[in-house]
Amino acid sequence: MRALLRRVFDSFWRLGWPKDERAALKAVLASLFLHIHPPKVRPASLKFTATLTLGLVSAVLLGALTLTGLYLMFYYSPHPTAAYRSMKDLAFVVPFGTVTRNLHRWGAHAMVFLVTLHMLRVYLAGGHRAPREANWVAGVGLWVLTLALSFTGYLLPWDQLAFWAVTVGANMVASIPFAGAHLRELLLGDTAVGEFALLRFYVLHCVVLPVAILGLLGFHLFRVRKDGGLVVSEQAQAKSRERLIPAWPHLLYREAVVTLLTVVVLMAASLWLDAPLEPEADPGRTPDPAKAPWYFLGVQELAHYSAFWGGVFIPAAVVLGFAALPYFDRDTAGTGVYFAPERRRAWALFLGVMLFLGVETLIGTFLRGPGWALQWSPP
Amino acid sequence: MSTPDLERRSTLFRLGVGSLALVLGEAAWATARFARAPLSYGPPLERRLGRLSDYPPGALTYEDGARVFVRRGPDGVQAISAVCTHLGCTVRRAAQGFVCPCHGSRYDDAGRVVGGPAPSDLAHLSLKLDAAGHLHVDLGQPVDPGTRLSEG
Repeated sequence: MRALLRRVFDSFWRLGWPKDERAALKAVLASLFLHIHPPKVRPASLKFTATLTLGLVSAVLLGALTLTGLYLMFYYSPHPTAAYRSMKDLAFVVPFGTVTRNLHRWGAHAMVFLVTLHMLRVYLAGGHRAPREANWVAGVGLWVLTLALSFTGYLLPWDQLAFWAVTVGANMVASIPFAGAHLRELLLGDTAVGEFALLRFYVLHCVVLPVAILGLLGFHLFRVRKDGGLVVSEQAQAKSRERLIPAWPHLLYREAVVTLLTVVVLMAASLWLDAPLEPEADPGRTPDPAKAPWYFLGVQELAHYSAFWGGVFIPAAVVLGFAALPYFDRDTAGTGVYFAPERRRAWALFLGVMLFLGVETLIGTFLRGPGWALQWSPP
Repeated sequence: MSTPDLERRSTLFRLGVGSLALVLGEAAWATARFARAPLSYGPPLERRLGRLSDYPPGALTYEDGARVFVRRGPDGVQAISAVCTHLGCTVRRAAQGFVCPCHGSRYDDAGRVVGGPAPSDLAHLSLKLDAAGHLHVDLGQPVDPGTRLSEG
């Protein structure tokens, strides 16, 4: 019996546990799951400061979100008469329903935050420059998809936040000159947020956008390898020609540790804090103040100046501007070095834009009270 | 120096690319049509409200089903939409006029914009009285702000 099990195991894992460096290289190359890693890596790329592990943690969170999202789908029903009730079922009847929803909510918030930081870090290291332009654009796409998943996700509980955030979002779309009203109806499948909008957002959130983000993430990881690994400074590159180290165990073990830590922290947060749920959606009454989740409060703050310019034009210009960066920033000096003095103008500009978004977000979060009026004591 | 054979080949290639573009364009058009099926025309526009006697004279009453404020004044009854003209949230009654909780648009008692991002005044809506004495509001029919339904 033991011998039979051994034979079955060996048929799938033909190489055995690698005992020397040569076997470790072969194991990484031969395995479907491991071969997204290079067989050998630069020691400089393994330093904590090289990545701050932001990309990996974001990917782990995406995995956790996919899994918990799948669990939630077994109890969720995308109809206005049933959606809010499924939230209550998860909270009061389904074993571990609350913690599953918490994992999904806090994982999503963390992912938005970390994907943004990851983008900031890559830019500050010059990782968007040639030959990595396409991968930078893919990364901007992943950032947008992360936000789109968050936006479509928060309609689903059908609470007051859900209803009013999406009503406002859809009306921002409607403020686009000429095509706006038509695009809004395309998004909602109706003239107002209702059963068609809920079903549409459900399908986008559970099928269309996850498939898109997982596919684009595959491309993103593929290009990291094809573009020669992580961006490193010239000195590190020169040094690494002498000495590359095998991915197994040096990279894989670090990844395993970061993955475990991510899961532990996310689980701890989800056991500690419950995801908020507002009263059921009421089209007749808007809560005061009606606030979007924190990551959209910057846009809400901008929209309070003008629906189209603040809510659509500036966000779209930021996204397109980010995507276009590597095609204008074509210098190579200072690549791979954080805050390189040679590229002071480039990173100062980018930091300026991020700071602007950050400050708008902070104003929207802490300084806006009832009637979206300025208040000086945070709630 | 292209031979006739190669020329024919590139013509065929262009024809192929052209047909592909045509098919994809058609698919995009069909998808857009598919995505906007005439299954719903939104909630009904005409709503029945309460009886005239349900509205105290001189008061402003909020009807949350229809999202309108009904004001019964000395010169008649008027309906003011509670839908903010900025991004569609429901405005609230403030000490003076109305305030939108989403982005802070402010209106005076007559629904005229006095501050915030709102591009236009709150809509005044058509009211009528049916035979049984119920008020009806037509959400799709804005009227001049001076319009009143006389109680006579």
